[in-house]
Amino acid sequence: MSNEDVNMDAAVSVYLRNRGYKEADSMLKQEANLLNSRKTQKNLLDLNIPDLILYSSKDEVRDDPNIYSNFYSLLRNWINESSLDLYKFELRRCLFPIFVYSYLNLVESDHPKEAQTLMKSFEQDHQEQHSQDLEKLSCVLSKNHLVENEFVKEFKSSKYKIRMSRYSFELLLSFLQNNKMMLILRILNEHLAIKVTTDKPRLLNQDESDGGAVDNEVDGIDDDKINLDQEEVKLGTLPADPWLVKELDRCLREGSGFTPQEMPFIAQELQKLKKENPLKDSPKRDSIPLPPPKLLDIQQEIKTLNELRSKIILNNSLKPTICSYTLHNTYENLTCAKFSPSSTLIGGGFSDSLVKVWNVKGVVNPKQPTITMPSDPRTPTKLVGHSGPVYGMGFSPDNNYLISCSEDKTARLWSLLTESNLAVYKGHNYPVWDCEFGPLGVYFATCSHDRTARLWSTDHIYPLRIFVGHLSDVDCVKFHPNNNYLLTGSLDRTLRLWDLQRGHTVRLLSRHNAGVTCCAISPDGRMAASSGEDKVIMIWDLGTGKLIKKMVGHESAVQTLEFSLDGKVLTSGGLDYTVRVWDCKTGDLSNNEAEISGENRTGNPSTTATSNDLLHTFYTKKTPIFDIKYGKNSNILLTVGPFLP
Amino acid sequence: MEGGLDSFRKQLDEKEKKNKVIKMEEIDDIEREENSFSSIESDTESGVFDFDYDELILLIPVVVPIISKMIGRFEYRLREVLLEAKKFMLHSKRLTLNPEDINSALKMKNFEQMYGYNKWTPNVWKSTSLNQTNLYYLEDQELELDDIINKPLPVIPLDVMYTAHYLAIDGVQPAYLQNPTNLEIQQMKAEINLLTSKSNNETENKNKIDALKKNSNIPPSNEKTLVKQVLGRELTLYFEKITEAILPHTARSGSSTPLSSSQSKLMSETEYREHALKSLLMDPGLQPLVPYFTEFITETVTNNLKNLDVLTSMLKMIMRLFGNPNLFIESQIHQLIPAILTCSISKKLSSTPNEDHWTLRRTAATLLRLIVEKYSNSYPSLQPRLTKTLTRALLDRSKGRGSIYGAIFGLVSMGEQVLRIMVLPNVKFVSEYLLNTENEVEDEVEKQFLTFESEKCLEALLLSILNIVKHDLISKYFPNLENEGPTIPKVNFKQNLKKEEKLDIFKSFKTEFGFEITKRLFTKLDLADDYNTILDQLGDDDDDDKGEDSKQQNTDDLMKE
Repeated sequence: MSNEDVNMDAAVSVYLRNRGYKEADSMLKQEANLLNSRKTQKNLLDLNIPDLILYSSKDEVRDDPNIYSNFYSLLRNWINESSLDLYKFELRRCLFPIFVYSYLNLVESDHPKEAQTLMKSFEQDHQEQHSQDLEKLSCVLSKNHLVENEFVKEFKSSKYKIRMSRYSFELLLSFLQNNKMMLILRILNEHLAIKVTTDKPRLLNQDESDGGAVDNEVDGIDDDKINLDQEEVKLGTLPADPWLVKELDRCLREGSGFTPQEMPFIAQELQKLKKENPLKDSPKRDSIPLPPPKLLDIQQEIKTLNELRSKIILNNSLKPTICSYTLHNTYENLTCAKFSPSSTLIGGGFSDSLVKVWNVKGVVNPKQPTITMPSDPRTPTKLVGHSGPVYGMGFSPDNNYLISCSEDKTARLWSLLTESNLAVYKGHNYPVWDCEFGPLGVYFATCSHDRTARLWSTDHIYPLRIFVGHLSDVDCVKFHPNNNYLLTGSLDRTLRLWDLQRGHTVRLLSRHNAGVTCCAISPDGRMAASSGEDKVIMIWDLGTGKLIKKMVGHESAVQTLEFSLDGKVLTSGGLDYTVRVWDCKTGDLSNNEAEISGENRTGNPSTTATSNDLLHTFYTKKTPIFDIKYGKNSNILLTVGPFLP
Repeated sequence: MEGGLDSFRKQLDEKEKKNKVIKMEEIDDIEREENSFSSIESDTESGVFDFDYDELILLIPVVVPIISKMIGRFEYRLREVLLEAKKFMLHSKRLTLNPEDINSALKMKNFEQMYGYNKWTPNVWKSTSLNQTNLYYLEDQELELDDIINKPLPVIPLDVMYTAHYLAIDGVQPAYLQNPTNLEIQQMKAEINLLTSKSNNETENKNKIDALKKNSNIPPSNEKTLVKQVLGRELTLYFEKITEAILPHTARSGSSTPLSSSQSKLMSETEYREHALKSLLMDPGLQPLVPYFTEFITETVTNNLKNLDVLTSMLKMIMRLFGNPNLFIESQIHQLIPAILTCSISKKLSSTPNEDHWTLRRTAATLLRLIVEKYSNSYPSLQPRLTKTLTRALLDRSKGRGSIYGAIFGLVSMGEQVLRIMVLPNVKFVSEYLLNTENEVEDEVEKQFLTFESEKCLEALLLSILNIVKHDLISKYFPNLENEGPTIPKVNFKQNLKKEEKLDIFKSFKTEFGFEITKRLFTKLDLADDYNTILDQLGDDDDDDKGEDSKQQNTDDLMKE
């Protein structure tokens, strides 16, 4: 008896049963010997008729066991290579269940070898997110296992739920139909519960954040152990340069360059610097090569140590004072703005390719205030060179250099002392979205539409590292304070922490429901914050790679995040014309989520729920916030943005 | 962005309704079609598409299936471009999609860009209905080439500039012009919702905004009471006591509680006030009250413009607040300065002109000097702005003598440089105005009073320029004395200057300041005798030198006096 006949018999049997012709049904079963001889096909009897008729085809496994492999690879290539970014994520989501069910079907139909080849060739795809499941799945090699394995049971007994937008579902269906991939279609129909929504593909609800899970929480991401999280990361502060410490010590002994009041404090701080050296998880000083320190650096170091003296200790009860710089007459042309580390300069990138730098501290001599100023301090320095909108910029730690990146695929280094362009860095093949100087200078990072982030050093015109791994545009980069890691956020809804030296991902942070547009790392290097188009701010523990909590409240995309100097308070600014101050130490995910969902259920869906961590909200007058910076030694916050009348 | 996308989506929905058969085609199919299309496209380019209507009808059975496939393909490409454009929008940190974004996306995809669209000319979408479905289209305007050529060049847009203000001070948002009111916040929220919401209830949102805009006449809800809760009870009490103590009886309205009898027994009102002021100077924990004090001061000053007592107390209060080393006043100075300026250059500061408002003006000037010294570094524009206001008051003839007096002292406190640039060149002008009392009033008593006032101003004016004049004289005639330090060395001009030099000085003064001031200056410089001799001599000279009529005239006038 051929497969088709069996299917037909089964169909008839199901029909009879459905209509209530029990006797006829049992008679049929007896005659066709359905029950006894083909136990494996028993599940066929549980199908409904349309399914049976629609999806039974001649490509049954028995004919060609390799067909699953072929179909799967075709589908995979189509999704990964020729589908649009927007729908890619949703489409990719259905790859894993299809993979699992194909594998199971192969095993079920006595083709363990083919199943293994399928596993071998494609397990890499799912390693990152489903490594645990793959381990379980690869154990299943014979029909007997199917019954025993808990994992398989769960997959078999319930449907894998996926939410998809209408258009991506149509895309998928038409692809499958056009390629006559009836087998895959059948899997889709049998085991997947695809909920087609009219939503736009990107704006998804919270309950969907788990990326689609089987009823019984087969792959609840909450307790999923991503392999990457086992990678060792050294998040401690970078030890001070031994030579510098020695020199400082010498300076202190000789007493040169200090006033007597400063001495005890500097000595104390120096002691701290020495002690910090053997911190357990600090990277080695020379793990990232840096040019040897110069004598000038000693003065700088003394200055920073002195600044530490006047630092105000911040806490939650201390209310912020915000000084807001507003740029007028931008005509929506301002594409980015940034404060210098010294907070004395504001850089602005414009869509007409200009970079302008304002000096916000006046240059008037306090002793002899004159009214005829040599040059109005409000006139900016204009840096001309780019040939496309400037999307990102970063000041060097010594405030003397500026790196800017543009739609013209280049990054440019500017000297603010000579007000000229020093170097052009070509390497990206598509618009460069963001760039940042490393915390110790010399190195800078860029990220681009070409899905890579790159590490450069100012004295080389080619990138030193190319970080490949993101599945879509890389939107933001941030250096880790110890100069050894780079955090990137991407449109593929994930953040990656890269090891600069080895050049590969050490952490993958994926809980966002939309593209990540901005990220920040706390000054102690242990925490990261990220946010994006989904308006949710997430706080991550970089050590474990886990989400600490979500903070909801913004009404539009968040553009900038900044930790306070002690890392207890996070400030965010966005396109909704607000500056918001968050408490990022208290509260955790569990009560956090309950609170959010609870409010959502009861509250009006149109009003966004706000989480309790929101300490303050300050509205500006139609000024989206492009950058936020904490003043060096006070609790004064600086914000900058264009006024859009 | 979403608005734009939505309208596109509407169009797409339209198409899909009409062509329910259309599904996305698989790659092979598309490629095949592309080949077939390229042939058609090449035809159109060579102008073969000019067939008449009959031929077109014949073509319909051929074209329709192609069109249906083409629409699917078009939709795919459209989505592709829109998605890319959205990225550019996001990175330009905007919520609305610009034609520029579309062009950037097209450029990146190596497509031809669209020309003729920019964000300045709004794109008007028109709708029409076809077979009971709405179709949206962009209306093309017809432009005359002549009009475009003959149009005057557009105005050069203003350059980008920045301003700074405090968005929040210690967690409280001060109610400036730069910060939004509650109502504005509501409007902004609604607008953002409109931009970001995915729902179709666009009209609903629009109505909401309109409704809000209509309500904008209603004053925003009382924010003061809202802020007051932030203050602790002790502070509120303290604030009340202090303001009560500082305000003299006369200024207090009847409704407010009078000074409690026990207190008035214990100490007199002035004593009580002194204590309050002292507390302001010394107390370390007043930071949260600073905005309230500021508001109190500005309010009191505006309400008591003619109450000299009150104004003096207010200035004292500002003085103490500045003197308190524990306070951070910087954020408030821009609010305090108008009050101080009022005390300095307002036309009338007392109920009767006989009161001593001169002292008040001088105090205000001192205060201005303190502020400029302390903050001109962090606010570079502070001093120029103050100078401008003061100079305007100095030259304004509609204002009284008092304003001029205040302005002179204010300018003195702006520093020597300012005096040189703003006062010296105007001395002649101002003094002429001051001396010309005859025409202003008829009444003899009033005239006398006016002369008294003018004298006061003239004295101030002389004082303000005297040091500069001395300095200049010394650097000119005694260059060896000059470098001895910032203080002006004492020189006996009478003995050390030669006769010709004195004459020179006289001439230069006269041209620069006019006769009256020259006379006074000579007196101040202890050269009064020489002045007279010079005058005599000049009188002689005039006989020879008839050319200088004006000089003659002036001298004659002076002789009469």
